[in-house]
Amino acid sequence: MNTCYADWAATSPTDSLVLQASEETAREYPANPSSSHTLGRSASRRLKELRSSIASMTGCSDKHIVFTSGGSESNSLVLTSLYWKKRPGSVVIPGIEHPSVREYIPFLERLGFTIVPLSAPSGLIDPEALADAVTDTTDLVCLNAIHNVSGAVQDLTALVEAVRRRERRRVHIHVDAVQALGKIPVALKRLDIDSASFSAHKFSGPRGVGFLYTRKPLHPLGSGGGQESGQRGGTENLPGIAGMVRAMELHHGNWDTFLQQMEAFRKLFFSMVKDAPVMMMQDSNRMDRYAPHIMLVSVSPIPSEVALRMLQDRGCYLSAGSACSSRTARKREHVLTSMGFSSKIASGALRISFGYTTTEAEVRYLAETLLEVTTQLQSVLPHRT
Amino acid sequence: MDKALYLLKSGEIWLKRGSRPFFERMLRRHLKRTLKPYSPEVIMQKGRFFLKVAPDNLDAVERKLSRTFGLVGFSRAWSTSKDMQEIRSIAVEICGRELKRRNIKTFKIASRRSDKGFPLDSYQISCDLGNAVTEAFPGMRVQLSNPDLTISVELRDKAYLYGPTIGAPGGLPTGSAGKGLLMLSGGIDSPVAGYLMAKRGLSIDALYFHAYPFTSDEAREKVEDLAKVLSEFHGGIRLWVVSFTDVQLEIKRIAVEGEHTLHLRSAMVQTANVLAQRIRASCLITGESLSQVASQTVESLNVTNSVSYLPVFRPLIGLDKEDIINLARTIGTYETSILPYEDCCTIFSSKHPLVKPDREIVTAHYRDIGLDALIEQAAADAELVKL
Repeated sequence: MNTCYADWAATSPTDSLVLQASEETAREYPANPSSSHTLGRSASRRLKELRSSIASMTGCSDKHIVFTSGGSESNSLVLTSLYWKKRPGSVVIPGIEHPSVREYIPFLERLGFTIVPLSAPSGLIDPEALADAVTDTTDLVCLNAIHNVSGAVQDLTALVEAVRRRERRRVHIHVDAVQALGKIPVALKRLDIDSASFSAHKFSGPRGVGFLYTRKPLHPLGSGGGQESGQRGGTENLPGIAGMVRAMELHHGNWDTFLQQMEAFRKLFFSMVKDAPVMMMQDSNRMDRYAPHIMLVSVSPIPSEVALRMLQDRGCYLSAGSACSSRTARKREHVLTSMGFSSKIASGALRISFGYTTTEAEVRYLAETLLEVTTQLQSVLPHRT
Repeated sequence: MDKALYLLKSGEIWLKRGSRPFFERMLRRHLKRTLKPYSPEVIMQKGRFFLKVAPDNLDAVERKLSRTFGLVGFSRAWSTSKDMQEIRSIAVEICGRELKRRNIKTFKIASRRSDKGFPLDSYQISCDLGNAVTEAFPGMRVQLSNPDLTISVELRDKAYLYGPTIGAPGGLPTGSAGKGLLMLSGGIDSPVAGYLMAKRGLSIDALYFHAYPFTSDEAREKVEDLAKVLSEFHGGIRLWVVSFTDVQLEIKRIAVEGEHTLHLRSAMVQTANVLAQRIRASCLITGESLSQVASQTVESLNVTNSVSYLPVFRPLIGLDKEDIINLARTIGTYETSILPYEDCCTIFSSKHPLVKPDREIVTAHYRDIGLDALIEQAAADAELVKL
């Protein structure tokens, strides 16, 4: 049976070279990097080398890298560090942010912070709207580099400039960049941001490993064995980190090839489904503002979960933008309504995401299958009046 | 190894006169079936029900007994010769077991002497055993009113001692009232309805309508999990899964706006009748509660009832949702029922469903859709899952 894995924005299949790097590291460096014996010191040296590699590939210094379990934990380290703020001010959190950021809103409110919401029409955060949201009391602004649902590529330079222009005292700008690394160039120091989250499994690295870039040391809530300069306790996942670095190396500098390939696939896909009862949820006048490997469409009034089941039965695997019967999907529906879509359109949203090993045959098969499934469903479920 | 002994307390069965042997037979049959792995022997003795089982896994036995309809309670029992030394050591053993299980401080001995030839009277027996228990466990204190532990002693052909009574649901033995078909959804109500009717002695098969891809496999698994909880009380259950997609699509295609849900409910009742005939069930059971939703008003129930030739039992009809939720918690179905997987996709429900439908008009519309062949096929293709 033909298949198409189109859920790369959720998790990318791990590259075999990455698995090999992890396995070799696990074998060659069996000890704990914190141990004082020679084997431990050897592991510690390897960890240092890997940290340097990451720093050089992301344009920052070694001391700014904190290894974590991935994007959610990295976001958590930043948000929980606000616990120590003596005079809680306000935090700007756009409605489109990932649940690993938004779920901290009750926590922050309990600490006394005011949450300033921000809409993002079609997934794009407007620098002027952001500037208006920044006040004298703003402590933190949360942004994303590439939006995980809509694929919108934020103009980070303009957004950071807008915040810096308006701020009276230094505002911490945190960027969730898990969808960006390995797809577009990332130069952290040049961006003048304060922290950023990354996750290896989004760019064919292993699951359960990632890192946080932080300009200044953080003081998060959790405490542990003093690893990562006391910012994240727990023995470092050396094999996972080695795999992550290998994955970064595989894609580093290949952005143009990747993006051109994805652009070709996006064009092909949309041309094949143009007659399907499918609504594009990205701003068609600004397609240059969306990462070409993520597409967001709506098959409303068909609930996305129904379309997903029919697609998976035919070997096509993708994610719902929203659904009527899952709790996590309701959270995602919030994201879509923050983008300006009605609940009805949001309930039929499908996110299609391609990746490094996606083939043209897969794209064609997915487009044909989506056309078949939606046409079939639309014929039995006409639009409601 | 000696078998462990239990005294079983049947409730309503004792109120029966002529039919009591029938109910006792049903209870005996049910116990023998559900406790088969524990080599059960059910003994009737002078109006008392005793159960002997292999002593290897008494926790499992007690879990099953506490879920046996027809019993209101049971106690672990010991029989011994009418020797006070023996009786004392068992009384001390019972107290020691309970101390390990829970925090108790007070106790009483309830003695009854049917054998009037026994040298001590009831009061003397209680005092003697009370002393033995307090000597063995100095922290234990006698308290005749509302004690933490009651140890019962009977002097009959032999001496019998009983530990504390563990509750059971009551009702009538499974199968004693015939067979019913439960329309089981993934919601809170229908498992409770099934429980209540099984408690009145109905043997139950369950029926679930699956509409893949419009409902998820998780929704079906949730229904299977609910049926499993019921099966613990019932001693296994048969779940019939009917694929209803074609019927639902046909209704969606033809039905007048506002009538979709009523037609769907009618089609389900009609399908249940077909299946019930095949499996020889003589009634249907639903979790409907008056006016809970549009399809459960008096007028709507009148419509869906009209397609059933079998009686439809609705044991929740007069209960508030809160009462139903409390029952679901007691039975152990609530946590599964509130999982988010819906059993019915919203695209099949009307935006403004009829609340007070005209029975003649709506049933005529239902007949006009002409679902008979699809329903016959759906019932014939029903998949059986034994739980």
